[in-house]
Formats: sequence, C-alpha cells, structure tokens
Amino acid sequence: MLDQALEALKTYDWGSDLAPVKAIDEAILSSADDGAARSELEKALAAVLDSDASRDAKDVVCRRLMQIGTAACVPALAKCLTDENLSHMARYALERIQAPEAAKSLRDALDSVSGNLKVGVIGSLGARKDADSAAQLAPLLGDSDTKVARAAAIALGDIQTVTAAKALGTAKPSDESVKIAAVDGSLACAEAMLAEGNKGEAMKLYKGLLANSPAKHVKLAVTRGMLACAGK
Amino acid sequence: MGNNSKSLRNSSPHSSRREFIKKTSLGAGAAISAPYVITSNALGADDVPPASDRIVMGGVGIGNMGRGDQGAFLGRKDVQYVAVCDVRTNAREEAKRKVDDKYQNTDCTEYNDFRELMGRTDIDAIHVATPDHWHALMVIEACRNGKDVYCQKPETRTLAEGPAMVQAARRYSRVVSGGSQRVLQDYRKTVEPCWNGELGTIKSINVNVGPLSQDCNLPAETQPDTIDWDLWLGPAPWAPYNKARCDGNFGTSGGSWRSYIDYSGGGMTDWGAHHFGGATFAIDVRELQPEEVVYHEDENYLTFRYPGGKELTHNKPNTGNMVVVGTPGEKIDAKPLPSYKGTGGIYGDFIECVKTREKPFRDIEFGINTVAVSHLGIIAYQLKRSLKWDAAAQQFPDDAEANRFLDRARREPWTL
Amino acid sequence: MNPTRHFLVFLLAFFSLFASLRVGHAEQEANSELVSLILELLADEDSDVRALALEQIRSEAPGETSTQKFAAQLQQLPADGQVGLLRALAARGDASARPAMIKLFSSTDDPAVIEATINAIGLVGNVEDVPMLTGQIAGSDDTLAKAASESLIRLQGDTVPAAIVAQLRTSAPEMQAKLIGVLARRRALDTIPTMLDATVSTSAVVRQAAMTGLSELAGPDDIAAMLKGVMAAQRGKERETAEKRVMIACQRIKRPEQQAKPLLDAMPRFSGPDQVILLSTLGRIGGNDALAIIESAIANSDAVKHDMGVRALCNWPNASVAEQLIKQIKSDVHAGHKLSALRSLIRVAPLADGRDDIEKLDLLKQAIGMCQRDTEIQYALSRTSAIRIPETLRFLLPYTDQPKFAENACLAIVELAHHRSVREPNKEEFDAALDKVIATSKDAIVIDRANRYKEGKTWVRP
Repeated sequence: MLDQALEALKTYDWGSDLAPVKAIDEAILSSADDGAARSELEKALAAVLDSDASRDAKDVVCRRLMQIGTAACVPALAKCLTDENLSHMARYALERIQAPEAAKSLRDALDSVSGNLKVGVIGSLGARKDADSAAQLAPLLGDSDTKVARAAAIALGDIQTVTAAKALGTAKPSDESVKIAAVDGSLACAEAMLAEGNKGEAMKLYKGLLANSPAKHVKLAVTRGMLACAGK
Repeated sequence: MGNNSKSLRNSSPHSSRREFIKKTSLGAGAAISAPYVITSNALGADDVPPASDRIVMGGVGIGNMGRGDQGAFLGRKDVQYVAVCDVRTNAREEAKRKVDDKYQNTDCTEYNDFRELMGRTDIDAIHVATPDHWHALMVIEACRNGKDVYCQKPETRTLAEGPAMVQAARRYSRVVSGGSQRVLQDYRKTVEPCWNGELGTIKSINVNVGPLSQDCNLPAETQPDTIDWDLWLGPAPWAPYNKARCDGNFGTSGGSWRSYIDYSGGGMTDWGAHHFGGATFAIDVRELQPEEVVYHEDENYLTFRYPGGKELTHNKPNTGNMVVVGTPGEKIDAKPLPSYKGTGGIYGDFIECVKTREKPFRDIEFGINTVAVSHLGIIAYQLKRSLKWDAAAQQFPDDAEANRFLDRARREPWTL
Repeated sequence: MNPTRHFLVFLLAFFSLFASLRVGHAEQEANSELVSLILELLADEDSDVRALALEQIRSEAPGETSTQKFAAQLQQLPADGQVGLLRALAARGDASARPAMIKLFSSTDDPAVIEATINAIGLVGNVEDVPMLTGQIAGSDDTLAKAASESLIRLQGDTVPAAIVAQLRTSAPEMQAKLIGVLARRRALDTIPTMLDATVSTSAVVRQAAMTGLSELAGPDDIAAMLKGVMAAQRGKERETAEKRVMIACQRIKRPEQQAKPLLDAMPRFSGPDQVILLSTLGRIGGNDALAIIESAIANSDAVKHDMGVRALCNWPNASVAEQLIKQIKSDVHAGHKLSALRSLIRVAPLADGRDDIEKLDLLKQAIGMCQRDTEIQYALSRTSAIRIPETLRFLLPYTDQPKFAENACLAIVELAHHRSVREPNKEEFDAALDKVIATSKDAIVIDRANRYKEGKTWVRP
C-alpha cells in the first residue's frame, strides 16, 4: 500500500486523487512506535525531493517530513531552500524538525539566498528562536533590502538573546517598516528581560527606544514597560 | 463622554517625579478639555488637535462576514469609516460603494495590500475578516502600527499564533476583540444556569462540532484578473488558483476555504469558535486553557481537562451539544455575569472599549483560549492519542511529536 | 519643546528613581512607588496616558493600600475622570475602594458619575448599600434604576437577600414586583417563602412577579404552594401565564414521569371546582397519570368538567395525545372544541418527543387533511419548517402554486433552507425550490434569503 503510494507520487500533481497522501498518513500513524519503519519512510520521502517529481508531490513530502523528519532528511530539504518553488515547503519541515542540523541548514543557507527566500529563512530561524543565528542576523538589520532588514528585526525580537537585544538597540533603520519591526523586537527583548528579573537591562532598552522619537503607541508601550520595572 | 468641566488636580507631594512623568506626556500635549479616556488620535496623529467622538475605522477582508462587520460599524454614529481592503476587486469595490453611499461622498479609500492601510496614521481601529490563515499576521501588524482591532473568529490558524497576538495587544495597550457574537448571545440558556448557581458546582459540558479540515489538491483553474492570488494565499503554501479553494461560503466539507487545512481548521475551528467559546464561558474556564486532552479511542471523542477539574467533552456519544453536568441539589452563590459594554452588541462593546481602553467581552485572550481548544483537539485527533498541555509554556511537555504541530512555517515574505 | 528633550528629562528622573528602587527596597515600597507613578499618569493632560494609568489601576500594584490611594483620587478628578476611575476600580474588584465611592456618590450631582458609582458598588459594595440601591430603583430616572437593579443583583453577601426582603415589605406594589425580580435574578432560594406569599397578593403586578420568580427558583416541594397563585390569578391572560409558570417549574424535575407528581399530590387538597380549574395546568405538564384524570374529565357529562378536560388536552406539551386530539376533532359536539383540538394537533405534530421526522410530517399531513379553513392550513404550513428533512420540502413545493398558501409555503421553504445541515446535502433540490420561491414570493426578505441560501451565504435574523 505504502509502496504504491510512494510510486504514485511520481505522477502526483494538482488535481490528483488524495489516496496516496492518505496512505502515507496511515503509514505515519501506524509507525508511531516503530523507529525502523519511520526511518525507512523518512528516507523514502526524502528521496522524492531528489527526484523530478512535481512541485505538488514535493509539497506533500515536506508536509509529512514536518511531522516525522529527523536529521537524516535535512540534507534533502536543505537543497530545496534555494529553489524558489520549494524553499517555503522545505522550511515548512525544517522549521519544525528539532534536530540542530535543521537549524544549521537554515543558517548555512542565509548566504546563498536573497530577496524573499532570504526573508523566509530568516523568519524560520526566528520562529525556532535560534540563538546561534543572532550574530549572523544582526548585520542584516542594515541590509539594503528592507524586507530582509525587517525580517531580521522580527527574528531578533523572537530570539531575545543579549546579542539580539544589543543589535536591535543600536540599529538605526530609516525605512519605516524596518523601524516598526526593530522597535517591536526591542520591546520583545525588554519584556523577556523583565520576565527574567533583569530590570536594569530592560530599562536600557526602553531608554534607547525613547531616544528616537517613536510613535505614540510605542511611547505608551515604553511607559508601560517602565512601570513594570518600577513594580515589585 | 461628557465635557471636562473641572480642572485636573494641581498639586503633588512628589514634584520631581511628577515633573519626570509629566515629561512623558506623549507628544505635544492634549488640550485640558479633551475627554478623559477617549484616545486623542481619533481624527489625526500625535500632533493634531483634540479627539473627536468618532473612531476612524477601516476594514480588511470584506466578504461574507466582513460585509456584516462593515455594516455594523458603518451604521454607528461614533465611527467614521474611511478605508476598505480586499484582494478581490469586486468585494473591494462593493465595500467602497457601501461606504460612499452612506456618507454621500467618494472619500473611502480602496486598498489591495493591507500594509498600506495599516500605515495610515489617521486610522484608529480596523476590523479583520480575511480567511483565518491571515488573522494573526494582520492583528499583530495592526498592533505594531498602533491600531485597535476587531478580528473575526477563529482568531488563529495555529496554536503558536495565539500568544503572539495577545502579546502584541498587551505590548501596545491595544484593544483587540475576537469576533464570536454567538458566545454571549446564543448560549444564554446554557450560560445563565451555570453562572447563577442553579446547576450547583459545574463538572462538565459537551460540545458537538466538526468536521476537521482536510487536505486540498484541487486542480489549477484559470485565474481571474479580479483576485490578487499571491496575496490571497499570503503566508499559506503556494497552490494554483481554484475557485473552490478560496470560496468564502460557510461550508466546511469541501468547496470553500473553510474546508482546507492551509486556511482553516474546518468546522472544528469555524463553528468551534462559537460552541467552544460558549461552553468555556458557561463553565467559566474562558481564562484558562486545558491541561490535558484525553482521546477516547474506542468511541473517537475527546475530553479536555481544565485546571481545577472541570471537563469539556467533544462529540461525546449520545450527548447533546452544550449539555452541562452540574451537581444537582447543591446551592452555590450566583456570580456576576460579564456582558457587553456600550450599545450595539459585540460591535458596540468593541467601540466602547476603544473609547475607554477597557478589555472587551471577547478580549483577544479569551478568543485565543477558545480556539486553542479547537487546535488541541485537532492535534489529538490527528495523532489519535491523548496529550498533556502546558499552557504557561505553550508546549506539549516531553512530546516532541505533538510540538511539531504548534506552528507552521509561513510562505515568504510573511512572518509574524 | 522638542519631544526628544522631553524624554531625556523623563529618563533622568526615572533612572534616579529606578536606582533607588534597586537598592534592596522592600516589595511594599516598590508597590508604593508604582502607585505614585500611576497617580502621576492619571493626572496627565494626555488622555492616552490617563487610559494607561487606568489600565494599571485595573490590574497592577495589588493590595488594599494601593486601592485606597487610587480611590482617594475620585474626589479630585473631573467628572469624566471620575467615571473612568470608578470603572477601573470596579474592575479591580477590591472592596476597600467602597468608602471613597460612597463619599463621591453623596457629593456628586453628575448623572454619569452617579450611574458609574452605582455600577461600581454592585461589584465592590456590601449589604449596607441595599437601601441606597433600592432607593435608586424606586427613583424616576430609568437609567439609574436599571443600573441599581443590576448592581443589586450582583451585590455580594449572604445577608443581602434578607435585606432586600426587608425593603420589599415596606414598598409599594410596583417596587415589590421589581425587588422580587431582583431576588429571582440573584437566585435567592431562601426567599422562596416570601415569593410564595406574594403569589396571593391583592396586587396583580406582585402576583405576576412572584409567579415568574418562582418559575425560575421553585423546587418540587414548592409547586403545590404555587398552585394557590394559579387560583389567585385573574381568569384569562394572568391565569394562563400563571399556569405556564407552574409548568416551567415542573419541567425542571429531571424525570419526565415525575413532573406532574407535585400537582397530582396537591390537587386533592383543593375543592372540587378548583380541581377542575387546575386541570388546565395539569394538561400543560402532561404524563400518563395526568392523562387518565383529564380523559375522565372529558368523558364527564358535566359540561364544565368536559370543557376543562378538552382545554387541558389541548395544552399538552407533546404529540403523545395525538390520538385523543384526533378523536376530539372528529367526535366532539362543540365546534370550538374541535377547532382547539385541531390547532393543538398542528402545534404538537412537529415537536421533538422521540418520534422520527417522517412520523412528524405524516401527523402534520393528517392534521392538514382535517382542516376546513385556510387559516389552519396556513398555520400548519408554517409549522412544517420545524421538520428538517427533504421530504418536508417536497411536501411544501406544491403549495407554492396555490396563491392562498404560496407565501406561507415560501417562508417555510426558506426557513428550512436556513439550516445548512438539510440544505447542503440536498443542494440541487433546494436550489430548484429556492428558484421557485424567488419567482413566487412577494416578500423581499424571503426573496433575499432564498438568494443568499442559494449562494451558500448565511442570513442573520433581525
């Protein structure tokens, strides 16, 4: 049944019957306690990514690797990150695979993608709260592509390490969308510091935010944060 | 809001601190006669004179539910409706026409891309009624831009989106209301006996709702030039245009975006937002999320267990929708039943709170807690097993497999 | 002034404060400083800053001392500031704000402030506030009376219901009725004896309020006493309503076969004529034991007993008496009884009582077959939409061709189509029927609904 489903993926495309997809889902469920079977399945699915199967078939595969993927399938997924048609679905899996290899593949891809694909990879690193990428993301705050700079700001706001906070606190974006994202990232970092009881560092970030004549709702956010610093 | 006829207090023992706080006056300083609570940017940015009584609004996603929402806000005297946004030309034009007809002018601005609308500093609040996969992104972006939001239910497409939305609302002190009008209006006969003590200590409630959304592999169709398909898909995985994929009808069994996993949780989130919202309100757990979801394999139903012991069952066999189990004969005190503020149902509640900065009845946190029930249920059904849930950490403890379903990577260039 | 300079001054001040806070200060002291900061914000010229202060008051700086400091500002703010602070203090829910609220209440003449104070007292007040709130309910301002009523319902404390009863005893009838309504909304079970006494009041408005309250609170042991209220009610509308109130109380008894028992037990204690009057109430509750008594009354040669028996049968809560109703339609010698039985049959035919939908539809068809006037056929058509199966649609369609019944049939069809669970699986059939409705109906709302359902859209009942 599973073999037939995997075979069917070779000709699977938009409009095809969902039967092979359902068969694969069944195989995923039934192998929940069978590590060897899961590994075989993962290997077979990853192989589809290396084949000339359709974009739709690879979409199906990435969704399933999101569920069961391990470090073993990361190389196959990583290759897709630079492909305009497959990059998102590769991240669909890589963003959720806990293995450190998945995060590394995203970091490694940063230098080989640009434009929207880079934005996507940055977003996935942020979603993973990947502290190891903070140093790589920090310089991107000044990227000439404002979408990249904005994504870096949001990701650093998710990562919330000292490096991230410092980068956000010293960024001087001129583009409005990047500015909004950098402010948001700084506020997120300050809140994280407050949650950890580090009021002094949070205050530094708030101070930095006020220095740039922010919009009114940001001033309100800062005032709110400062009140939290003053509380017990 | 009445006029400010008395002067503000004029002395303080902490003059130095007062001085420093005074310096935080956010901007050039509003006139003394400004209403006490209403936001001062109601008809302008920081540097424009005092507040008007009207809340300046725009809407994003003006289809079925959006049309109703727009009508409700447009009909209010305390709202000035100035902008519409939709990726479908026809819906957008119809929505603009409706506004212009109302005000007898042509001032309403149309937008295809919501980011342009969000960037307008004269807009105080927006309502969002796009397909569900856009909700979180738009609400968060609106908060970052200092706007209050009325967001249709279900508020999220993934569990991880919920806390991010609440955080954005709280961070910027925004009023963000979820959109299920039914929670308060439709379930009174269930809610009131629970809150007024008639049923004694509440043990459980059952909700019957479904189905779950499904995979979609519809074939490509010729894309009409009246839709910005890439923007309709937004953060969802790319797929070719097909009318049934993006149809806004209320079906959840195919032939509508509400049926498909990339855009909706199906009936489980769509009607679930109403039923679970009403049920969690009835048994007074709307401020909580379950700590455990028990999957009953034999009969294919779920029990959500809440801290404190209350239970919510889903599709329990031979049990009616919204059926409550209490403690017969036990006498307990009535609790004050929360309700809408202002006038005009859930819409009036939102507008009143925009003015007073209070939390609306369907504060985003309650909306998120409701739809979290749906998402947890979907994951349990999908994995066909029970789950533990740590609401504080927003994680399935020691359950890597389930944690993969907390969120989904968004298609570039969209990030939360 | 340059905004940046504003904030530099602000920061310097804040940092000096912050530094002092960090030098090992106690939690209480930190709280106190926070309260001071919030109070400064509350006095700010900018409404957004004041709103932020109110947000903080609602949830931050816990403790009575903080609450009292916040509440102390009530006297110093302008009216709209007082309203905002009252709402924030109410949301904070700390009773230590009450004295300041009461002080404000006694010193203000601003209606908005008075209303906000009344609302707030409902959340942080106590039994001492009962006289003030009842006084407002008795006042001439409807808005304040409504607010006071809601607050009296919310007011916490075990002794509050007794205090309301004390007020009730010295009040005029209209006020008594309002306070009975408050007690019912509070679910003050200890005040059931007071309500039972009120069912035989000389004032109709008090009797009605008491019966309404008891319909929500009375347990099985109280139902016999409620029957005195039925007897005390004036014949006609008041008695009919009183009977329904007893019915609601009986329906709360979980086991259906037990629901009539309190009545059946109590009836022998009434006189013969009163027992006949109570048959009508018994009919509304139903059950086999009740039916035996009612059938006996119908069979009685005494015209009064027969009449009350038929009335009781026509009040039946479900279709289990369909056979008896049909018998009356066919054999009763009084035209009025026949018609009552027919209308009753049409009413009960679609009710949910364990029969399947086809059986319900068949019974309704049978009833229509016995109709001699268009009015009853139109009534029957309107009842069909409660039977949500495609067979109902097929039954209704031919009526759209009969001008006398077309509008009723069209309305019933859109009512049926409103339910997605029956419409969507039979889309083709419904679409054709809705086209017929669109072509036939003269009612713009019905046509709009038909169009919406065809497109898979919803329609919100006004």
